[in-house]
Amino acid sequence: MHLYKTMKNFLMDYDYYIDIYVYKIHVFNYIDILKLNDDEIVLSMATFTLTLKGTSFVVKRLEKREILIEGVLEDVRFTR
Amino acid sequence: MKINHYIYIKCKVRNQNRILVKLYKNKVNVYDVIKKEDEIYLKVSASDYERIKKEIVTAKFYYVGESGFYRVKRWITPLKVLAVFLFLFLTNLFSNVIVKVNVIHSNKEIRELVSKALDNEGIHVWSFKKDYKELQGIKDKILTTYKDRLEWLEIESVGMMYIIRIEERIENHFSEENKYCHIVANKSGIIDNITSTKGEIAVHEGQYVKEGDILISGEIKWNEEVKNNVCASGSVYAEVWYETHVTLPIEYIIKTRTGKKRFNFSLESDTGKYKILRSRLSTYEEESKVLFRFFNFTFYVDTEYETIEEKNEYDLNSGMNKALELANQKIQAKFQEGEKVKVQKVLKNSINDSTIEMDIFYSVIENIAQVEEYSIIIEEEGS
Repeated sequence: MHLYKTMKNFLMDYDYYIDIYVYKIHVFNYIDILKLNDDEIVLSMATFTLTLKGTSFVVKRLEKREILIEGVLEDVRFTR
Repeated sequence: MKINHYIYIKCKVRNQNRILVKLYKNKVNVYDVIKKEDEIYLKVSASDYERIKKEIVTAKFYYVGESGFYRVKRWITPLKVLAVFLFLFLTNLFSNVIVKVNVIHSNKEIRELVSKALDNEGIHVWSFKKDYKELQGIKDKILTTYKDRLEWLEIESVGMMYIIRIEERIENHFSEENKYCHIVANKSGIIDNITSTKGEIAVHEGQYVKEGDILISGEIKWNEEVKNNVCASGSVYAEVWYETHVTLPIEYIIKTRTGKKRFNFSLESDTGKYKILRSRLSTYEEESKVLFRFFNFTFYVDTEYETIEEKNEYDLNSGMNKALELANQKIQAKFQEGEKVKVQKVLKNSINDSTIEMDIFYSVIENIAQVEEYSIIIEEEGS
């Protein structure tokens, strides 16, 4: 069963991931953008809501399931 | 291979984030975002751009440009392509046109003679340049036509100009008429045949002569008294002897074409000939054809025929025949008209680990006549 799940996830890319770099945040497999401004971005994920707080947020790349944000990240919050 | 077609667009809007959210809601992928005061620049796909124009009416989007291949494609218009080809064609055309034919010689008569001959052969101002073979042909033709006037002629192509250098043939009739000479032997040998056009024959057929012996004398005698002096001329064929040594490697390579061929291009400049593409065949024979010339560069299309190299070894018999053939070629390379091999004999042959060694004796009929001038001592009367 575990192997099946792993294979399914590999092929379908169901899992979300959030990569935090210096001045960059990459979020994969988000559901919706709830809020988007220069100091706060709220994204709806499959099981929770992701709140990113910081300064000078700029969306660099915006796709259906992916978002790349540039800016200074100060706070990350997960809300169920 | 599909090339992604991206377009840069700009939008004048105060709340830039709102336009991004709007694009997201309309399922538009944004691949790059650049924010500038009250303008936002977006990189979107061409198909999304069409949708944006139709579906988002609350903001106005302006086309800025394209990226990558499509940017180049947009720049390359048929007119530009035509202009480039026209430029290359005209440059090539003008670089192959002669604007000046400069005949260099101090004698005006010779200059006019050569200019006229070149004109007849199609080398004149505003004519096209000739290729190397044609130039050689023209050169040989002019030299043959005016062999009594021209000694040497060279046609040099410098840019859009032909420089013709000439050496005039100067025949010193006076000195020839007044010089006295013998025909002497330049080698030792047995006389085979004598032909004299001037002078008195001093030897006979079958006579052994040493190097330096007089064969045709310039002194015309009557009753042992010299009556006249001339410059003797003629040809004297004698049997002379040589020994030659040939070394032949036992191993030799036979190249056979497989029938597989590949095309390649090469470029020849003043510094040499270079391949444009790497050859895909490991061993091959090549045939080149001139594609076009551009200034000092010549472009060739090469046909490379794949070959298989097969290593073979001579046995004693075939090796000896080959060595003999090589020795004959070596000796015959020096031959002039009327000269031939009379007898050939293998003196020694040996086969080593890697070579065949052979010593061959040759008896050759060769012209041994050599002109040697002499002067007359006039004895003063009463001394």
